[in-house]
Amino acid sequence: MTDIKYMILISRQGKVRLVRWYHTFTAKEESKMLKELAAIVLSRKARMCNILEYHDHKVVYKRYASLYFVCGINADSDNELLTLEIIHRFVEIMDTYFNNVCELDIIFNFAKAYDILNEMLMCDGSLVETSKQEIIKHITHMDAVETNDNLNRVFA
Amino acid sequence: MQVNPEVVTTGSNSALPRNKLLIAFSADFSRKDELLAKVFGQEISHSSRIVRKYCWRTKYYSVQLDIYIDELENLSNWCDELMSPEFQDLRDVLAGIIVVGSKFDPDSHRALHQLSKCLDESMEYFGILLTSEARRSDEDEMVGSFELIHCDENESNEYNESLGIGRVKEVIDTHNWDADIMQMKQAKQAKQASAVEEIDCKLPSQGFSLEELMHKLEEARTNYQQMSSGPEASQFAEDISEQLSRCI
Repeated sequence: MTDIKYMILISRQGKVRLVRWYHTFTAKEESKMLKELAAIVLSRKARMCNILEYHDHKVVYKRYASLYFVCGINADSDNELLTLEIIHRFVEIMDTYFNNVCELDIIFNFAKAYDILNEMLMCDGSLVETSKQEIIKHITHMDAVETNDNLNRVFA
Repeated sequence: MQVNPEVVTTGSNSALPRNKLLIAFSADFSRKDELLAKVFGQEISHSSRIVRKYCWRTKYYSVQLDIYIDELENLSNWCDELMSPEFQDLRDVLAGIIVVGSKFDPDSHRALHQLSKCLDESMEYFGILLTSEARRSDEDEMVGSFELIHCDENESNEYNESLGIGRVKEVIDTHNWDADIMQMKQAKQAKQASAVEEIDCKLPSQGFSLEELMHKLEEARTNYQQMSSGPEASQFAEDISEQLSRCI
């Protein structure tokens, strides 16, 4: 069981590349959390623990290349190691889809990155799909439908 | 700071594009030209001082940069100078600052922290502190808003993470350049043009059979599906339909 509150991708330069909120926060809270989390996570050294307490919940983060994947989880009900696995699975799927993903791919194809995340996590932050093959299949099918729609629109 | 006289103009620079890259070499750093060649892939001499309209290319876009090359004796003094009001015009057009040196002492780090505070208030930029020192396990990766990068490391490691010069290139690649100075790559258009040409060549010059036409349509659809959606793909489909209607 997972109850992720948010998933944020922050670059090493402190720029937010993706953000998905699974719990309701006010705009002010969101902006404050983005600022604080970027500062906290970026200031941590490589050998420090990937799990930390933040306000009323826990933050689990993992760095892949130039990006920090940051997840807020429920301190009582969520499993930190499972959250690390979810982050890793998200990275693996993006890596397969983009064929060796880099920060630039996410910047210029952010909608695809969100699509992948949407296939994995439901809007309440619970894990809905774990199979890499299934997610890639859904995303490529969505791509095919999209291009077919365009073609049919032109040839109609 | 020697680049300033050529940069400073009177009045506000708000209309000027933020596409200047300032590279400041510490006087004790000897491999200036080698480093410039590694980052920019061509012969840029540090004695050039200003390189105009250098084209930075990525797989998604290209952008024209002006590169300003400076030399510093003392990083603290250099930072103080850059923070002074008379350098406001320069700060307004800077997209990034790369400070290069052999070794940086705690005073240098303090100076960069102060510079970061000054710059953060006003500008969207990237900062890199490039050093030839070996990496220490306990070091901070950020000095203020300047990312500490070790220039003698390999460009990537076994996990395909960018390091050293590779990371410098990645920081420049991923900077939020002003949209009006970015030229988006039209690779798909080139692919689309060649696909249209291919179909065109295969169409019969005189007469047609329905079977052959259907085959061409299927071929066009396959080509179309290989393109990403968007205006390029739509344009391709329109070109194909025009050519097919001409044949009919």
